[in-house]
Amino acid sequence: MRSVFVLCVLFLTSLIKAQPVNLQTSTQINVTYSSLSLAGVADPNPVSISLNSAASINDGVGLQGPVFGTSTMQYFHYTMFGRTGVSRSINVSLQTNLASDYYVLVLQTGTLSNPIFGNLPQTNTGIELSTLPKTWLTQLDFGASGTLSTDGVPFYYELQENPTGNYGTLTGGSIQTNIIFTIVE
Amino acid sequence: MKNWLLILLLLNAYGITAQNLNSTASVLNASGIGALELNSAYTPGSDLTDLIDLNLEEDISVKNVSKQTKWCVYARLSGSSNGHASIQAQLDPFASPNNTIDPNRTHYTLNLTYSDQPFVSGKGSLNTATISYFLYEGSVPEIQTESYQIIYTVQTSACPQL
Repeated sequence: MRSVFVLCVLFLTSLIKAQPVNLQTSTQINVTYSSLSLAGVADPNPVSISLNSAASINDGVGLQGPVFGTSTMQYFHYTMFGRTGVSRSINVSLQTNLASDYYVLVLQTGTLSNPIFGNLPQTNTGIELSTLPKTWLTQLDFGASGTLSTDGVPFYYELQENPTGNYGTLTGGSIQTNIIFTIVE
Repeated sequence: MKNWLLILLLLNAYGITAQNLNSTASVLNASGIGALELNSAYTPGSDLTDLIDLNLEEDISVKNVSKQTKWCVYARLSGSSNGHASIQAQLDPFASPNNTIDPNRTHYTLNLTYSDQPFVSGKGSLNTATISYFLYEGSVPEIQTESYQIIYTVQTSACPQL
């Protein structure tokens, strides 16, 4: 009787061993991202500002303020990876002073549309550019603007009359200046 | 005598728990996802590409199973995961013995969800099968680190036919 019992036990044991029961195992995957902040303009070519009026013998330079000329719309692209407690801003400045103080270069912000991912930044507009950096965009916590030619933060430049400028500083021909966008954390 | 039988059965059950389904890793760390993993590398405005190789692997095994017993390994993400994307698990078809794994019932590529999904179907003991992990449908992250908990469960009977 005892032998039969032992045999039964062994049989049951072999049955259990042959069948996997519901069993689990787990794996945790930890993912770490780089501290990535990328920014740039959609169109890397030089931006032109044509004057609203041409120079003439009768009208002199023909400049009629307060806005002498406007650029086409530009688009600012960015990709920001989020980090706890970190928010970025974008500053803008001129690399060097303009050739004349009879006019100023002003950055205007267009109407924002939602980025492909992330939050919309806060914007300042009507920024008179100088070699001193000024805050343009704030609260860029995380997101990606998109890479199409009209994705991102729209902006344009205005050449405006400087009410306190000196007419005598005007020179003929075209002038060029470089504008610097800086990511600030 | 009945008590002895009960103890013996319980010991056996615990023994099976320790032996049948195993993985070679409990924690895997992927680091450095950045500008190279964007849709257009190093391009401002780009979002993360939809599928990023995490360069992580582990081996799973199903052991102490009789040759004729069919089984199915299910996979899912645990609710304790805090990632904003998902994980794709890929079974290496060349690193798994053909005799054990049923290719007609195995998902060699599986996008994990929070529900159990059939993943690997087999018969008999599986010594090892290599799984690679990818970040699936990720976007620009809100935080610098995140984790995904993957639960594998083995059940008797084959996975459903594909």
